[in-house]
Order: sequence, then C-alpha cells, then structure tokens
Amino acid sequence: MVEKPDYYSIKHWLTTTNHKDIGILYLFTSLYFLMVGGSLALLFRLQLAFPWLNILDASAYNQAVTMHGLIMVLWAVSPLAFAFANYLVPLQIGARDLAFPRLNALSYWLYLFSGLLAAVTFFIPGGAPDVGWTYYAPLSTARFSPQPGVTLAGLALVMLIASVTVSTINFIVTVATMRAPGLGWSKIPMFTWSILFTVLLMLFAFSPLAAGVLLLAVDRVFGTAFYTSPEGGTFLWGHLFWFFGHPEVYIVLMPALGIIGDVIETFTRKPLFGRKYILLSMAAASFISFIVYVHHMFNTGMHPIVREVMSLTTESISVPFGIIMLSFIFSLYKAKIKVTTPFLFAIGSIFLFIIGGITGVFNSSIPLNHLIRGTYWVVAHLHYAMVGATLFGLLAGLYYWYPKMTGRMYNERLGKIHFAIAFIGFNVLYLPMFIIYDMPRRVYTYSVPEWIPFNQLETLGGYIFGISFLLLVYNFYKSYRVGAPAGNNPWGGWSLEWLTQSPPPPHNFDFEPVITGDQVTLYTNGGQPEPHIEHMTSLPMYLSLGVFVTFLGFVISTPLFIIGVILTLAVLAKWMWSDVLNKFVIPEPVKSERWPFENTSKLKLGVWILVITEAMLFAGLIGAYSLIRVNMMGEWPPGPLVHDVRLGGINTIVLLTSSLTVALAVAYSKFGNERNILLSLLASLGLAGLFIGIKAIEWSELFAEGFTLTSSLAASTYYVLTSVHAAHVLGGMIVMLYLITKVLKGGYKSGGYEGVENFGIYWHFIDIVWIFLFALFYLL
Amino acid sequence: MEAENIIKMYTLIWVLLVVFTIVEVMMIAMAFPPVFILLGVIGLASLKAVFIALYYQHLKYDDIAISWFYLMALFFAIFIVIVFTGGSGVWPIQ
Ligand code: HEM
Ligand SMILES: [Cu+2]
Repeated sequence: MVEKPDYYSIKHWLTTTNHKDIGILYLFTSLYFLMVGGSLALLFRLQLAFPWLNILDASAYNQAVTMHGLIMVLWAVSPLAFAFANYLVPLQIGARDLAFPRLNALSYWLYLFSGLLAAVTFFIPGGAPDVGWTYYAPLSTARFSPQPGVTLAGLALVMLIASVTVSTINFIVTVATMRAPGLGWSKIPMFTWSILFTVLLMLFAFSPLAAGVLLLAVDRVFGTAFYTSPEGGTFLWGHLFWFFGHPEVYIVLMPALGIIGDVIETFTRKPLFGRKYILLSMAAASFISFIVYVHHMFNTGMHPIVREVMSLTTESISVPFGIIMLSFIFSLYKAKIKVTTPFLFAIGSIFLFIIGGITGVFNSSIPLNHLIRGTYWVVAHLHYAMVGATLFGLLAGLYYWYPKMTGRMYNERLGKIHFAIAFIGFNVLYLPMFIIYDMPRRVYTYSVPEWIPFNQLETLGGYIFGISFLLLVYNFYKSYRVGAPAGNNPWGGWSLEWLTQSPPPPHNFDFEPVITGDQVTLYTNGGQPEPHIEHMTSLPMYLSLGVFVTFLGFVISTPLFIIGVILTLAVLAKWMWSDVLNKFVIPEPVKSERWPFENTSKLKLGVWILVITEAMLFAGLIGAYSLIRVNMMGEWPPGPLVHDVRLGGINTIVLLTSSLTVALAVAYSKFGNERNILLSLLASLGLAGLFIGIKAIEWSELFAEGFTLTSSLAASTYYVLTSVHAAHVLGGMIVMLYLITKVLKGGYKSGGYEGVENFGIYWHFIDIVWIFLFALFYLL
Repeated sequence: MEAENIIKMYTLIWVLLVVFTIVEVMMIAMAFPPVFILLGVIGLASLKAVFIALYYQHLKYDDIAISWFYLMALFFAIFIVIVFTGGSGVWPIQ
C-alpha cells in the first residue's frame, strides 16, 4: 500500500513535489497575495473618496497603486489559476503527476520568494516602486526614480519569469506526452486546454520582457543609457513591455475561460455548444494577441501605418472572443441547468467579460483612444476584464473543485450570497468609472467636485466587494470541518478528476484510466494500486531562497549578496550531484497518448521548450539592437570600424568547432563509445573555454581603446548582448562538466546517454545565436 | 545511419560552416555596396543557422512538431524586429 503523507508536518510542505500539494501551496500563496493587493486597493480607494484628507500622500499613493497592479496581475490572479492547473491538469489527463515534479516545486518556491522580494521593497529605504505597474521608462530609470526598490522589484520580476519559464516547460511536456491512453486532443477537458493555451502564450511572451527588465537593470546599476537616451528611451521600453503586456492579459484570462467551459458543461449536463469552435477561437485569439500590442502605444509618435494595422488587429480579436461567448451562451439554451455557486460565478464572469470586451473595442479606435488614454475609463475596462471576467471565473473554479480538494461540500446558500454581494459590490465599484471617464488615473488627488460622489460610491463598492470575501473564508473554513462528505463526483462531472476519490490519493488513481470512444475503462492492477514513488526534496526551496538572498543582497548589502551566491551555487552543485548519482529517475510513461511527439522523450521536449524561451529572450535583445541602431542612423559605427573582424571570425570558428565536437559526442553516445564521448566532451569544454578567453582579450582591447560599457549606446548594446551570450556559454560549460562527471561515474549505463543528446540541442542553439551576433555586431 | 557516415556528415557540415564564415569575413574585406553586404551577411548567417538546426540539432530527423515551435519563435523574432524598427518609420512606406 502507498503510505499516506503526514499533512500536518511542516517538513512535508517544504519538501513535497506532489502536484496536488504544490497546487495547494499555490492556492494559499496566491490568496495571500490577493489579500495584500486588495488591502492596498482599499487603502487608496479611501484616499480617492476623501481626496482632501490626504490619507496617502502622493508618494505613498503611487507606491500603493504600483504594487497593487504588480501584485494582482503577476503574483495573485495568474498564480491562482496555476493553483488549479497544478492540482487538476494531471488529474484531468489521467496522469500521476506533472512531467518534472522537482522542477514544479522549484516553480512554486521561485514564485513565493519572488513575491516576497517584491513585497520587501515596502520596508527598504525609499520604499516600494512608485512608477506604475507598467514601469514606463524613463520614469523607471535611475535619473527619475533612484530608489533601490525599483531595482529590487525588477529583480523580483526576473525571478518570477524564471518560475514561469519552468512551469511553461512542465505543463507543455505534461499535456503533450502524458495523456491517458485513448485521451486524444479532442477529448481533453476545457480547463486543461485553456492551460495549454496559457503556457503557450507564456512561452513566447515572458522572455522578451526579461530582456527589457535586464536592460533596465543594467541602466540602473551600471549607468548605461538604454532608456534615458532618445534613441532607445520610452519607445524601447514600450515595445518590450507591451509585446509581453498584451499577451499577459490573455494569460490571465485564458484559464478562467477554461473553467467556465468545464462548469457550464457539468451544470448543463451536456457537451458545450460548438466546442470545436471555442477551441479554434482560443487558438486564434492566442495568436492574434501577439500582434496587437501597439494599441497601448497609440499616443506615441509611432509610425501611423503600424498604429493603423494594430488598431485593425485589435478590433479583429473581438471576433474569436465573440464566438467563445456566444457558444457559452448557446450552451445554456434548453438545458436542464442546475444553478449552483460555481455556475453563478461562471455566468457572472461571462456577463462582465462582455462589458470588458465591448469597452475594449472603444479603446482600440485610435481617435477614441486619444480621448480615454490614461483615464478611469481604461481602469474600468481593465478591471471588468481582469477582475470581472477573470477573478469571477477563477472563483467559479474554487467553488467547483472545493469538494474535490477537500472531500467536503461547502454551504451552497452562503456561496450564493457571496456571489450576490460580490457581484453588486463589483459593479458599484467599477461602473461609475465609465461615467467619469475623463478623470485621470494614477493621480492621488483631484479638485473637481463633481467627481467626489462617484468616487465615494466606487469606494463603497470596493469595500462591499472586499468584505464579501469573508463569506468565502468562513464558508470554506467551516465546511472543511463539518461539510457533508462530497463523494467522488458530487456534480456529475464527466472529466477524469471526478472518477477518483475526494481528495485524490497521492498517486491520483487506484487504477489505470483508459479511454475508448466515449467510454472510460478503469484497469485495476489486480486490486493493487500502481506503485508510486514520492520524491521529497528541499533543494528547490533552498535554491529559491539562495536566489532571493542574492538579489536582496545585490541591492542592499554586499555581504548578504556573497552569502546568497554561495548558497545558490552550493545548492546547484548538490542538485547536480544527486543527478549524477541518478537519485531521482521517473520512467517514461509507457502507454500514454503523445501525438505529435511520439518520438520525443519528455526530457528532450523539455529542453526544446527551454530553447524556445531562450530564442525569445534573444529575439527581445536583437529587437532592442535593431530599434537602437535604426534610431541612431549614422551615429552607429559600422562593425568593421570598431571590431577586429578577423579575430571575431576566428572565435566564430572556435565555437562552430565546439558544436562539431558536441555533435560527435552525441553520435558516439548513440553507439555507446564511452571513451570517444569523453574525448569529444573534453574537446568541447576546451573550445568553449578558448572562446571565452578570446572574448576577454577582445573586450580588454576595446576597453583600452575607449569603447567601454557606457561610452556610447552602440557600445552598451554590444557589451550587454555579448555578455548574455557569454553567460550562456559559461552555463553550457557547467553542464559539460556535469556530463563528463556523470559519464565517468557510469551514470548513463542504463539511461542511454540521453543527457548528452539533450545538451547538444542547447549547445547548438547557443552557437546559432553567436552566428547572428557576429553578423550584427562585427560584419554590419 | 552507420557510425562512420554520421561522423562524415557532421564533419562535412562543419567544413561548410567554416567556409561560409570565411566568405563572410572576406566580403567585408572587399568593398561591396552596403546593401549587398547586408543581404549577403544576413543570408549566410541564416544559412549557417539552418544547417546547424537541421543536422546538428537533428530537426530533420525529429518529430515535425518541434520544428513548428522553432518556426513560431522565428516568426515572432522577425515580427519583433520589423515592428520595433517599423514603428520608428524607417521603412519606405507612406
Ligand atoms: C476584445 C477584447 C479587448 C480589447 C479589444 C482590448 C483593448 C484594449 C486597449 C486598446 C487598451 C489600451 C487602452 C489605453 O490604455 O489607451 C486596453 C487596455 C487594457 N486592457 Fe484590454 N482589451 C480587451 C480585453 C482585455 C482583457 C480580456 C483583459 C484582461 C484580462 C484586458 C486588460 C487590459 C489592461 C490591463 C489594460 C490596461 C493596461 C495599462 O495601461 O495599465 N483587456 N485594452
Ligand atoms: Cu492590450
């Protein structure tokens, strides 16, 4: 029998890698951040209701607004969706866990510590960032906002991006390769589909933001001028931020749509109307969301054609969303509906999304946008979309899966009262904002008497909305103790999570679900549950703590920084060592549905997804290069005038040769020729070292000639891009050392040298990046 | 494929990559018109990248879906460069 873990021990929660435990951790953490962000909002709503009292002064107000936005978007709402994703995606696809459980724990701990890092800024000198959640440059540069909190919150963002990247890899690989036999793409529940779209959006959106934040950090710490010079400046940030920012709002929204789909299917007791078209629309909306972002920059001097094109693409995105909403609504037609709390929240969400979407179409008209840009109209729009549609959808999910997660029913009447109060409070809070659409946002006070009653009404609504959540807390707390037992399937849902116990056992299913047609067959293993190994490890927690201390120290204290670096490196070494010894191996799922990745192992797909995120990072950086270079026109010195083209060419050949030796190592690994694998890897390591050495010589010569990090924007761009590349080379060298050790220790005897092959994919990518950097900086 | 053939192929690709690099460097040494250099250098760099992706990263022999991911990233990279620079009004459109 499988041993039941001790859920009352703290150690369990610090070391767990089980997806359901991680889901619970995400749930409590995101609700905590929701409370923090909500309290900040109630604070500044008070100031707006009585603008003459100055409960908050200008700076405190701006800090509160900025942190409210950052925390809500990045650390509360989106992670709340990932609480459900962690808990339910493996269940819904009939898997035992996510593809990489330890990395999943790492995602969580990076998320928690990044949130704490952002929150710490309130307590350091200068306070929290006060530049708005959009971090617009040059306001966010050291010239206008010298306080360290702006840098620190930026680093918190970098940490969060790392967390998101790891999650992205994990969820794509899980859904792609671990579905139960027979569970083809068309049979995946809506929620899992929506998470798949969400992580695909994350995959392409988050890394360019990392590039933007990196440049900002370099500006602030090393005194470069990416965002203070007119050639980069506000345009550069606007592009890098909103290429991320617009898809981000769909990242936030998408899981709620999935939940609504599942909830409607369950409570109308029939399949969704036009399910296929909903999925196609989600796919279309996901794609289009990348090519609309200039609608956040309509009021800049951007070239009119670009603005007009993106005005059209923005308006066209309402077509797929219209299809989704209509399909949801038609699904209700002639259905025997069971009205429950989750159903009410789902319907409320649809209703509020329609208001949010329609006002979005107003925003996307360039002339109207000139009128409403930077006003409470936009605030109302974005909250109808992000709170109305998204948070209500997620609350539907919370009520819907509460019985599954706890094994108990909540009190239905209290739930419905919560919905009613929240819905009224929400509209009292945001509807008046459309009426005073000319009131500017992000200003701490005003002296227009006509606005006062509206603001007081809004504040009243805000408090009603906020307080309604006490009902949820009370209901869930009480029901956890005395609620009626829920049984496996209290709602009569059809997806796989309802087939197992509530709460599910650690290994999820006592049987193997196999799907044929519309039927699920449960294969039991002669009554014995399949053996399931729980891997407990504290490494992800310590690694995240190490990064937290490193970043905090970097900004406020050097000794702390050194401690952080040592901790981080020590944990990394320990982690690698436990891998050298093969302490943690999960077998490939043997009988899973995995089209279109039949021939790709989980790990290999994971490495490929990582490479894609890296490609997007460099896409962001090369975008920055192009923008700056184009804006500098004749000021940018042609490469051959600055760089030694011949030396650069030789270094290129050195790196190309290392790719050859790595390719050879992979080839030898196919034939198990251990000695040649080792020789090839050693040669690659030497060549990589040589590449870094030549780089160092080039840099020191350039410095001697006065071409330094801050000597010109062209020089800054060169140094930042080549250092990011060099950092990847160094990272690759560490992995080579790891592989060499592992081969020497005989760690691959049973595993067929998969690690060598997967490393090759990554190394060749680094080579490709260099080929372009060489062309862009040396040759052109 | 036979072990020897694979190694031969990898080495051949390497020779091509090195030759392309030398051509790139030589193009700079000779005074070609700038547009020619721009197209030549970007073209050769792309060609090198394609060879590495197809053979060293063996996309040619793997599930086609991986290539789709790669192409998607490529699409967005090109999109980023075009919009970032196009917004500045460099393209001859009006
Ligand atoms: C049909 C759907 C939508 C359209 C056409 C649309 C359009 C727009 C436009 C044009 C703006 C820029 C307004 C301005 O600042 O001048 C905007 C702002 C915004 N939208 Fe939407 N939107 C839509 C749906 C959504 C959804 C679903 C969300 C989130 C879940 C969302 C979140 C936001 C946010 C956060 C902002 C403000 C960003 C800021 O400046 O702080 N929108 N929207
Ligand atoms: Cu947008």
